[in-house]
Amino acid sequence: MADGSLQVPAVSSRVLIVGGDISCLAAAETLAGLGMDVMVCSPAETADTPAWKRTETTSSEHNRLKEHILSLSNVRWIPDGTIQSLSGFAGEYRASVQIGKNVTSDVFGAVMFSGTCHHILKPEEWGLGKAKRIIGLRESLEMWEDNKQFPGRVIFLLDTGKDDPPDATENTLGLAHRVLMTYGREVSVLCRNMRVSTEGGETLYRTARGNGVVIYKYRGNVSVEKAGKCLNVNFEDEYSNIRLNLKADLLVVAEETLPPETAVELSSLSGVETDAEGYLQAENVWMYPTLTNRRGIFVFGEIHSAGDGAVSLEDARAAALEVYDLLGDGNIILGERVGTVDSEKCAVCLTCLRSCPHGAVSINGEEQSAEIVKAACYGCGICSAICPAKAITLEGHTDDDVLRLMDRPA
Amino acid sequence: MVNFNPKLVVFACENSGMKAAEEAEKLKLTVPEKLTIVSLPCGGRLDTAHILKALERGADGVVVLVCHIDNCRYLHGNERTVKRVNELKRLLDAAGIEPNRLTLSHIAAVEPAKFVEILNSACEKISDEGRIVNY
Repeated sequence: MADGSLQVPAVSSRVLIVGGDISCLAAAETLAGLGMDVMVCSPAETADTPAWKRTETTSSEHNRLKEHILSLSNVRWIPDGTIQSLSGFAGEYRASVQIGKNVTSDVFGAVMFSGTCHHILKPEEWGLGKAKRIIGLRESLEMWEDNKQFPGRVIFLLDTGKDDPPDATENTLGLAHRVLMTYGREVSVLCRNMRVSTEGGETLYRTARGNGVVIYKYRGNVSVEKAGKCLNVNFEDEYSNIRLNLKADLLVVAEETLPPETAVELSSLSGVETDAEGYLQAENVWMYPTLTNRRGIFVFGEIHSAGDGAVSLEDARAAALEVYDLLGDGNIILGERVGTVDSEKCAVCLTCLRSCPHGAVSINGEEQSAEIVKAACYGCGICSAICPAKAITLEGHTDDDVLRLMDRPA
Repeated sequence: MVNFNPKLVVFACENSGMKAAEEAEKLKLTVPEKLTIVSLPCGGRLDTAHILKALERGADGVVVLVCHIDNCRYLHGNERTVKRVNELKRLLDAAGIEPNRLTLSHIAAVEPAKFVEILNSACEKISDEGRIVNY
């Protein structure tokens, strides 16, 4: 975060939120409450709580948010809007948004990205093809919503790929418990780890287990075979070290959680780096959790990490406060020092533009020179070191400054 | 095995190396005698020419301190420094200047002991090479 006393006026104090779930509305609500103008591009389904997120508290909060947002005059919610392009800098981001067949362009002071993870059931799970007796967790939750019958002995399976995020455990335990209490048949949960960090997660675990859901921790891989009309589920139990074989009439497998499908496109539109798994914002403690390498662009919710609906809402509100901190008074506070390009020396080779981690370089056609945008510059000096023409200087860290420091007596 | 006190110039990133140096000073840890520390906003600001100038102006050795990988405040500045230093070592070797006079280490702000260890070990390596010869 910037620490200087100099500031520049923001060309716009509007905020653009691009996303995919209810946390977008939470962010918009926070900003609107602080007097900011907000545009939200987020599908209409945003406010509908999907089956796997449905609890009493979340449903009522979602409904409240939706109603409240629709009543606010300083929030414009565009359900079918998608962002097409993004250019500019903190205080002056130009975004074009496609709404149906029309494309509108607008200027924003800050941009916030969010999204919804997508889930896949690994298809050839055990060479059994799409078997009736093997379904995904989300499908099973919808089955429950639709009052469909759960046949016989049910086994729930977690962590088949890498370890699943906390909401998979929460949904699994919740459903396993409901199925057990309703049907009274054997219900087991197989996992590598029980993640109970969600609100009420620990209680749910104890209750489910206390009422008879059997929870196994497995080591290595689980193998599944057809056995007549049911399935044999075979695994090594971590505590007893014994290979166990359970019979199941239905196997429910938690889907693999992947970053939102929009993450890659948003990354290339905005110059925000993704991490090793494809979530937005490079793995870097300086930015965690809601900042990015670009001043004025923020991330929240599932676009930067999977997994816990309640946390997403808080994340969204925290990110909104960061936006307000940046933009609330209509000014962008500059970094301690900024770079300057000597237009006489600049050959417009574009090296600085390509090297700047913060997207702070623009090209001035009239001056035939690169320019460093003060509002976007973090003062790292990378451009200064890399310029082949030595056209860029950084206050306090010019080549002469370095030589002077180097020549001090030891 | 230190037969003389080499003159060291240390280029330190202000987010890691400089902070570790300040902490080491606060803790009164012993650092090599002839030490000049140059603070930079990021390892990425360090130009190859700066290192050459240091050697030209009488430093027996140069130590470059940057953040650990994935910890650079500006994302990849430290990676740029690593590439520059590696390339420079190759060139120094070709030019007849002992590449051991130049070292790069990754460090964090909370590692004052490591700061001292890096300097002491650099001191040893450099003093093995002897005083730098300037033509």
